[in-house]
Amino acid sequence: MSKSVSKSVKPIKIVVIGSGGVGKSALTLQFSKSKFFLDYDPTIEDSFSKSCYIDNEMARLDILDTAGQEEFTSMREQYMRLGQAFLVVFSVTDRKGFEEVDSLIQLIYRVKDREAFPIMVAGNKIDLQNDRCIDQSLAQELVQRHQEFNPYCAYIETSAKTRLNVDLVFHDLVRLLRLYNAKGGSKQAKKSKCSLL
Amino acid sequence: MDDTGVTVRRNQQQLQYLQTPAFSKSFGGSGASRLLRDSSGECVSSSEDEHLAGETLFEARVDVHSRKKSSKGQPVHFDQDPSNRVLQLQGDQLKLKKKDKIKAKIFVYYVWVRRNVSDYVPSDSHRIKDESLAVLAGWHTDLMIVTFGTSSEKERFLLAFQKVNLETLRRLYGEDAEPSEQCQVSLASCIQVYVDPPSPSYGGADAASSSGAAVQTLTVKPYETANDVARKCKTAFKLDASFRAQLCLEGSSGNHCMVGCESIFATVLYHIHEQHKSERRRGSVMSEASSTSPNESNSMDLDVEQPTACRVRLSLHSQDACSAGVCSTSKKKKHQHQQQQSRRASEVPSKIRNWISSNRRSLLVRQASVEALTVSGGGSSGGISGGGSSSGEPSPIIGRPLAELFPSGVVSRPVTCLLAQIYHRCYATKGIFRQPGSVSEKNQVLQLLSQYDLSKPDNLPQLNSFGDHCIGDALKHYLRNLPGCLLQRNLFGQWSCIGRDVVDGVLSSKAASDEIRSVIQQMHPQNAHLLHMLMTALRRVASNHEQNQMNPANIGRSVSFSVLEQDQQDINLASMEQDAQRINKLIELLITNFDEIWPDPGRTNELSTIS
Repeated sequence: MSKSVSKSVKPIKIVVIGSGGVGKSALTLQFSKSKFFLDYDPTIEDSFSKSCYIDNEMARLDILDTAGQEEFTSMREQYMRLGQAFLVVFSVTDRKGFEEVDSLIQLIYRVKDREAFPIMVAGNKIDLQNDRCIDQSLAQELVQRHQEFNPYCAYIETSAKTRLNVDLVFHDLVRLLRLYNAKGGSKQAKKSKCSLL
Repeated sequence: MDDTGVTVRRNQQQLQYLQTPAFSKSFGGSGASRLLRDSSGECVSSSEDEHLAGETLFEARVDVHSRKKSSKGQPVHFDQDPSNRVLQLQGDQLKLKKKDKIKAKIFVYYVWVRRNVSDYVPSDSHRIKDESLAVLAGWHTDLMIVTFGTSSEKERFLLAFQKVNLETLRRLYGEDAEPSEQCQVSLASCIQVYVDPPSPSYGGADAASSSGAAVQTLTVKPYETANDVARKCKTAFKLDASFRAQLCLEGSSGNHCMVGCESIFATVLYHIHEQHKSERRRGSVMSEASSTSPNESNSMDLDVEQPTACRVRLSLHSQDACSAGVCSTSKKKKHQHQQQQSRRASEVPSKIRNWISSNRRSLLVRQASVEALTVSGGGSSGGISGGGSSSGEPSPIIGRPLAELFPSGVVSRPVTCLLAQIYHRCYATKGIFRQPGSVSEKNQVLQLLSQYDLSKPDNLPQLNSFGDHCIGDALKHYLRNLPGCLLQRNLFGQWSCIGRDVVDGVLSSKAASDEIRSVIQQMHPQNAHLLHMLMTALRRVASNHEQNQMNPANIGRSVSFSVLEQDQQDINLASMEQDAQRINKLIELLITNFDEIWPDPGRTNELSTIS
């Protein structure tokens, strides 16, 4: 595809969030550069750009890879304000990271001030089957709970190391975003029904 | 208190509003001089303690950034039919909402908090929607939810907010002493939801009362907003669409608290006040509360476990909730419910009951439960915990300056205890400081640290049973909450310069060590001592990087934000990233050049002597 075509497309801002050490950077790098790095470097912030065709439609993805540590919460919220779609990553070998997923999704709702928003939950490191402690059903149950309110939420299992579902997770997220935009999600009223009367 | 304040006189009442320095500092404001205007719209007050003349009609206006370009900068009148508007604080903005629409956004530093809130417990007056008496200038007493971006923001807000209330308490006690600079408010809460009539699919029938109401408690997590809680309740209780969960607690929960709805907060204050009075009367520390079981709903009980720590557990019950027509019950059930409410209400002290009934009328709160742990830090002078200090009182560790905790200059236990855990036990754990630990375990560790009694140095918290990552998390949490940061925010420029010069290659490693040493000499001795011990532990972690994969650079990235943070007012995303890089490098240097920076071998082994 020509550069001029891709530049004319409005970029989609995807923010990758999750606990520390779950493989956010590995997923992002595998998708954007088709490489798997064995380095164990904590991220503070990295951004990548990639253009691709999704369902015969050009998409330019601006992917923001964020820090997972708790102390970066304030930065994380600033990133979230900019994001149009979110990839929430956890490791299927790390229960604590999984426990944080729900809170991160809630944080997205709060920061975006919406009850529904395109969110893809990715269970990473499924190549490490022997160390697996989060069943697929458990993760799907979590996502289904959110789907009751947010139809633009989905779950995919990935392996950045083997590149399993790496493209799919980003492509599906873009599909969710397109669906969300098509249904007028971005123009919908923000959170309603304040419980306090 | 050093602050800018304005006094408003109305109906022979004198109300003073202020923006405490802590408040404005925390939220980036330099003052709210534009807030108060007279009826002609002119700004009449901008200087300290300037009084509005005579019987000037109080009118609060704020400059807002409206979403509509045409109305940008136009003032918003809080007193324009506020009955159906909700004021919601999110991040650094107050949002004025009408139904589901945001009508205006107001920067939080325009907010003025009222001084002297002693009439939180009024005798007989009904002051619903009386904005002249509100906690926030110009806003009536109900309908305000405050949601913060993070828990720490909320803590800061409450700290600032409580200072105002401490002043009131001090006045009530008749003490002249300044309130403690360091007071922590740590609040946790849960919500109790009535299901009336019980949903067929609801399983909590064991708690169902004779009236058919079932009670279930849900924990409110730190990040959840009122809407989240509502949604959670609906999911948890499998409620159908026709049901409206009757919630809304929120004295304070997680990162949001209801400030305008004063009743819960005020009742806590009232109880503390009453408690304090009775303590004074008896002349000794008391440890009693009410005879009611803490588990019984609609009860109020006060457990004073320690002279300086009041543990307050209360449940409020709105007598008007049922009549507000929250749910559709049969008349019979309604009657039964009312009877039950009356019976329960009679258990509540009459003063409080009157207070609640006169203040909670418009709220649909059926049941609220707040557990507040209010701890005063400054020893025996002032504050909530004022007079009853004696030897043996617990001193909170977290969030207090080292210089205050350890005046001798030597950082003692239990901080060293935490570091010793890293040094002896957790140094080889993969991803230590990077991967998260269990939140509940971390909270338990912090709780143990908070409960540590400095006067009993041998009574150390037992931390061996906790996970390695949670020890790392707890240590970072402790460091993050050190006032002024471990590396001292006032030295940020110097630290940043060293980091920048090393990153740019201007400074050699050895020269950097000399620079670092000179900056350490400017630090408070306690901070310098703790820094040395921290680096001792981190060096051991780094030396095991083949096992734990945490080399000095990784440790720098994972720890730097906890030891040095820029002033909140100066933060923007671009500078944060740049500074982060420099401070990461600095931490890396502190680890790798440890022997050059701290050449004294005697101190190097300090942690190794602690078992």
